[in-house]
Amino acid sequence: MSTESAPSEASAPEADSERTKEISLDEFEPYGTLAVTGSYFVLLLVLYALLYFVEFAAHAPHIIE
Amino acid sequence: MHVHRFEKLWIGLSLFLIAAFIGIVLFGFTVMDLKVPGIEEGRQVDPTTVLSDEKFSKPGVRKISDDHYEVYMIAQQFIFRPGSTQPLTIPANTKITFHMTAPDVMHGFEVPGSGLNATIIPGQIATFSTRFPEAKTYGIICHQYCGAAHHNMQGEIEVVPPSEFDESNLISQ
Ligand SMILES: [Cu+2]
Repeated sequence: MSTESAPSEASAPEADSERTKEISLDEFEPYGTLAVTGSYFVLLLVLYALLYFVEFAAHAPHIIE
Repeated sequence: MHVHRFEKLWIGLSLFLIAAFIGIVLFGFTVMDLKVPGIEEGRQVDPTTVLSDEKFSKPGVRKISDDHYEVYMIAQQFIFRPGSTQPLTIPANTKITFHMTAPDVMHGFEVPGSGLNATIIPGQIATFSTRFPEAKTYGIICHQYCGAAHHNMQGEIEVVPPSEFDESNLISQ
């Protein structure tokens, strides 16, 4: 077992460096992060509107002066 | 400084969010004409003597006109007077002006599920006007921690149709 895995471990860094690709900042496109942030953003706006317009402002009686 | 376009997007969205929060609140207080409770201007009371004040010594409902009643209410450890030992009874669809103060510590006044919410501070008179649209029973809770039995400080507002409102319980001046 150990004799078999030893050669593959040794060759791993070499294989990784072959696969490494340098990209510029603008080529980095974290669409997953954008999607998560975007859904939280929409959720925040919707819940704020619900809280303000429905829970806070719509429930009569309210203060009239 | 170079900023990634995704970063630019969420910096922009964050600024939009702050503007939206401020905009919604401004919209509420202008277009929707929302109001917040105030304190009675120019009228400070001494919490140690407020229980012998002209109005607060007889808390309850007074009639100003056919469409306007006023309520003087004392919040104290751990009851609302009136409200806790007997419900505060008022007519529906009528303007009600609340005046509330405390002789001991800070209390809260909240009618759950409504827009009525005020902080009652010793030495000041919290005031606001409202109209209860329907005849039903509302609760009152104290939302400021005011002592060991704060959690038991609650009351009731019984809103009755104007035709059924019994004026014999009014405080006569
Ligand atoms: Cu209290």
